Amino acid sequence: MKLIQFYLFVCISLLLACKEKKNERLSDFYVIEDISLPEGLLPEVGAMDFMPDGRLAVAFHRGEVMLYNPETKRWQLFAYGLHDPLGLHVLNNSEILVMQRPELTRLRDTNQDGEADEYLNETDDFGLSGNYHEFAYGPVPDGKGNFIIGLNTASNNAGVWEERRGEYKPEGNPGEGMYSPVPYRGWLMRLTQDKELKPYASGFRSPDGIGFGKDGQLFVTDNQGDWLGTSTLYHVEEGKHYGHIASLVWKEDWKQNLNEVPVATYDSMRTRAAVLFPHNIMADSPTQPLYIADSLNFGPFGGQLLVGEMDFPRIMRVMLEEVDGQMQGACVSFIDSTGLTVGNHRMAFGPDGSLWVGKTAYAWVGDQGIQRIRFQGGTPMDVLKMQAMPHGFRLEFTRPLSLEAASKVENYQFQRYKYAYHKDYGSPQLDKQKVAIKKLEVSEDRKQVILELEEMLPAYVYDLSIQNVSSEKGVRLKNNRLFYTLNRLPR
Amino acid sequence: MRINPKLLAVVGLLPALLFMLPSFIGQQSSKQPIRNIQIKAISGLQYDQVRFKVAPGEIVHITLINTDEMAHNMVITVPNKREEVVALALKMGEEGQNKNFVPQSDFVLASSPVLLPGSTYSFNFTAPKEEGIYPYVCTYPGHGAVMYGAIYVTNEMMPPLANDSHVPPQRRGEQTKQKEAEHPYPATFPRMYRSFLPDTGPASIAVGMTNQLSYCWDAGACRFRYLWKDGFIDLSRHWGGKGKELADIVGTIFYREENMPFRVGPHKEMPESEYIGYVLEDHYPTFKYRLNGVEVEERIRPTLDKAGMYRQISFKDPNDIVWYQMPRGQQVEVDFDQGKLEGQYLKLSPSEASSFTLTIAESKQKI
Repeated sequence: MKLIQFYLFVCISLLLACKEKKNERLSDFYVIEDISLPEGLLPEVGAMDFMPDGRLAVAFHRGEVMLYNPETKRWQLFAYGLHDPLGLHVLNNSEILVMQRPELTRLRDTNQDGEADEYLNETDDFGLSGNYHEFAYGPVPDGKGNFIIGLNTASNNAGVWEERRGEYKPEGNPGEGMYSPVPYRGWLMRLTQDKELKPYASGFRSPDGIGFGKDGQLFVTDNQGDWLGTSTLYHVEEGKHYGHIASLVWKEDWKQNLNEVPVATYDSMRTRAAVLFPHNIMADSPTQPLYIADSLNFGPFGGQLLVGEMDFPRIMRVMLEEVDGQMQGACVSFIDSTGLTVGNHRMAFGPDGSLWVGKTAYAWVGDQGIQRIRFQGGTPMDVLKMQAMPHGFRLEFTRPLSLEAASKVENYQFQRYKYAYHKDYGSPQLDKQKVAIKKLEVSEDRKQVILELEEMLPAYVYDLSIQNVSSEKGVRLKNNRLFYTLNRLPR
Repeated sequence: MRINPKLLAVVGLLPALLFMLPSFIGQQSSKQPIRNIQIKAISGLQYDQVRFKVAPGEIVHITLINTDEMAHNMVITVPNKREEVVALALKMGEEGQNKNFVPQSDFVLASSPVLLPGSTYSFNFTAPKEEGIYPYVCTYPGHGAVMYGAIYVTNEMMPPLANDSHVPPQRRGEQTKQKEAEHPYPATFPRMYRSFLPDTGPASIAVGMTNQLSYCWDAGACRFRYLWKDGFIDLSRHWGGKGKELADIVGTIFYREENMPFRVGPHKEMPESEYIGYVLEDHYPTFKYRLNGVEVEERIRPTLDKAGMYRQISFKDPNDIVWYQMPRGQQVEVDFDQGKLEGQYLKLSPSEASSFTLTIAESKQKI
């Protein structure tokens, strides 16, 4: 405790001493370094998690699980020969669950020689058609003793093998787009404590990112493509359907031909995304959502989610709120360039509160390696919160604003648009229009701006560009583009 | 009245064509026919052709075919401006999508639209009069750093591919490619991979017992699949793409097991199988599975004198007869240390089944 007080004292005095610099950069707050890697390793990261003893466990593209000691900077082999490991959960210092393509495997070092000698099948109770796109993700613990795993759909760029695992339903392939030939492709599954794998929620295309939020809510990202006009973050609840149709053939009592159901019916069945990530602007391929615990020393964004992104040198930040029983909110850049590379696939917070980011490409857009992001203290100039109001939005900033710029209506540009829900690949921005600001109000503490808009329409993305707004000492707002997915209008 | 627009166009052009005729004939000998250049966008962010040569001023008919599963375009730039054009395209933001990620710039000489997977686009490109190396690149966000090639506008020879800095490093020919280490640990035997392998189920395992002797075991069907000699597997195609390509078997398969060979109980019915996993003993896997609820362990080791294997099998408390269906139609010798033959089956009592060894080795004769 004494130590923390001392640390706080040092921080505060440093802050006071430094004053606010005008040319302050984001990299003054978040320092990015590259982690050294052993020779001979193809460092495409499929999965990462920390061990209780502080070592980082990483699964790589060629099937290795390696352990990295941040103190000694040494790498050590723990397991090998796995097939496309894309998920990993540490159970203890000698036991790891790893999700590889064909199975969830329990790796265990029983003789304490540092290397796993048991590779036991925790569950393989799901189908494999041999289609290369049937990736498997997770396991993410739900805090109640269960694990969530995600099963990717099959790609229409390839067929299925003669020999498969699991029941085969040719009707799971509607002829266009991603398909679900074997159970439970396009589903999230729950592995119960007694190792039963049960369908949990349907309607996913490529659920690469799975994570739990502050209050135990489950969040999953999905990738732009057929039935996804743009990439999404879903708030997932048991039994619900999230829009990609192929998975429905494995729904109990499903009897219809996938091609004979009207789009309007599909539309009524789905739960909308909590956040849409506008394609080509914000994200082309979002990955893991990772919640920033309040207890972490990682800046002012405790309780919010970070989301990785493959195609841009970017990690996003998501600010959520529940309106009328529906989760919704805004996304904004958290780190954009400033030394971060692309291919941001897996993230984990280390015991010291630093963020570790594993890269991959997998012959798509991406990169290799691991970067570590360390918070240096202080308060970066940023939007802390964006909340919907009945007639507009409320913005809260991390620092007091310069009143003059903050009060100018022309410094805030809103446009809104939506994305089609259809079987075609992606969607342009539809019904795009500028939205005029009727009224602007800056709070007394100059940390909040309330923007009243001409119109607020549910089911649209409200895309806000903030120009020229700075802190009272003149520090510019860098992450100045925010996208709020307005599912419901607050009353 | 209906007018055929095509006819109208021809009629309208007729005077012009007639007027051009003499000069056209006059030039015929010097003007070469337009060459077709076909370039495919292929998996792994690359063009199948990374360079080609045209004469200064030559007109070529370029056809871009997108065989990949992502969207791509092709932008031809002036020499040494590839990276700048890629950066300009990235800065277009959401404007980019509407403009095919082709920036407004004097550096751009020609471009295709963004092609969705499976689509094709053709255009004529007139090579500049000025000799030089004109890059082409995919400016779709994220692709430009690795997906490019070069048009050599010259009457000279192109330089050797191996040293050509105008094509992506991994495409500079096999001669520059050294066999790199595949892992951060030495490639010793025995070793193993779960991967996509030929002639088996999608949940299979390749085990290299020695660098000369390997086998495939199917964790989906819980059974041995095949045995091969003179090598292990080559995973470069499988790892290099998105995982679609199978691992290549190196060597010759000389023994295959066509079905689950074990039966439990007097009626020789096909057992229900359940995969438990494997444990490593001196880096050899011991497979564990259940047949009709009875736990089975299988240890496989190489024979020393010829190409073959010992399979040490343990049924844990089977409480019933265990049968092993002898292989047929294969060029192997099969030996066993327990049980007795009954027709095509080896019959094992519960105690014999608790530990027995099958030796299967290459033979000149078919059994």
